[in-house]
Order: sequence, then structure tokens, then C-alpha cells
Amino acid sequence: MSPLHIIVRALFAYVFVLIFTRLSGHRTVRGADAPSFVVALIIGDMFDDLFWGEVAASQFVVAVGTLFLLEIWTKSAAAGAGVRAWQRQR
Amino acid sequence: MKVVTTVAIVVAVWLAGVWGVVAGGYDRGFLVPPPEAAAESFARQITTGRNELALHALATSVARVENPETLRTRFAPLFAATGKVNRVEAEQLSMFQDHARARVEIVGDDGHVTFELGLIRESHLWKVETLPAFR
Repeated sequence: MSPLHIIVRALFAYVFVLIFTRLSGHRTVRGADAPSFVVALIIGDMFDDLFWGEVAASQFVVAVGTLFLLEIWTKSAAAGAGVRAWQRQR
Repeated sequence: MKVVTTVAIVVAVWLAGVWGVVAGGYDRGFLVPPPEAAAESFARQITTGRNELALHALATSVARVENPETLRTRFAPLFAATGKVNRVEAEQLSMFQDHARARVEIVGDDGHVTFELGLIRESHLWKVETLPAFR
């Protein structure tokens, strides 16, 4: 596999995830909760599959997009219902 | 809900873009798995006994006549030669238009086996068109 292929796929994944990270509204990981951490782990595991050409880019987009969509939707729903995403300090 | 809609639209736009590049740009290895990756994936599924999944990697013409049992029988001599499989690697030999050939090497405890696979591009993805015959 040529380095050019890997560069193109890495750029593709980077730009795609950068856009979604911006859309999610998180500028830092300081306010992240446990579900966000789990989603970040799952998405992080998908990158190498795309880099080494094991999955098609469309599959990567669908998988990552769905996870981001669920993450943002649950956060929006929780915020709309007035549910706190963090635990009160005792 | 506005941001959820925005994310859904962005996903749809990106998918349309990927489809445009793959279909319109005749992409055969950048945004789709290249022939050697398809061949290696197929070989890994065979060596791990996931023959039902391996069927999805076959071209339509081959998938019509193969089933998990025929795949298991076909590749049984391979396992007899290699023993416990430790490594699976594939490299592209040639690619011309919608056809490609890849060489697969399977290394096991008792030896290694090399065979070639023919691949064809179906629905913008590389599929295994010709299977090896082991004796």
C-alpha cells in the first residue's frame, strides 16, 4: 500500500472528525463525561481500519456519523430535559 | 435539535461526496479497500473459520456456486500444510481496469502457503472472483 493512499485516508478522517468535533461544541475534554469518553474510544478505534484500507470510507462515515449523531442527540435531549450531565460533588 | 439536523446533513453530504469520488472519480483504492486489502480480509476470514462472512467477499458469479461448506472443504488442505495460522499477508500483483490479482501468503506453525486470488470490481468494491485450487 502506497504512502499516498495512507495520507489521503488520514486527511479524509482528520477533516471529517474535525468538523464533527466542532459541531459537537466541545472545545476541550475537561467537561466530558463517561459516555463521551466511551464514544471517543470507539471512534478512536475506527481510524486505523480506514487508514489501512480495511473498510470503505463510506462505512467509516456512516459509523462515525451515527455515533456523533447519537452523542449530540442524547446531550441535547438531556440538556432540554434539564438533566445534569455531571455528578454533584459531595 | 438544530445541531442534530446539521450533523445528519453533514453526514449525508459527506456520503454523497464519497460516492461522487468513488463512482465519478473511478477510485479503486483510496476511499475503498484496495485489492490487496480485500484479498487479505478474505484470507483472514477463511483462516479464522468465518466462512459465512467470507462469502460476502466473493464476486456474484462465485458466490452463487459457493457456500460456507464448500469454502471450508476447498481451504482444508491449506490448514493441513500450515498448521496453526500465525500470519496472513497479501500483496497486489496487477490491476487493470476492473480486474486485479493479489498474492496471499499464510504462515503457520508447520509451514507457509502462497496462493493467488483474482479480484473484480463490483459496485465500486473489490470482490474475489477466482479461488485457488488446493490438492
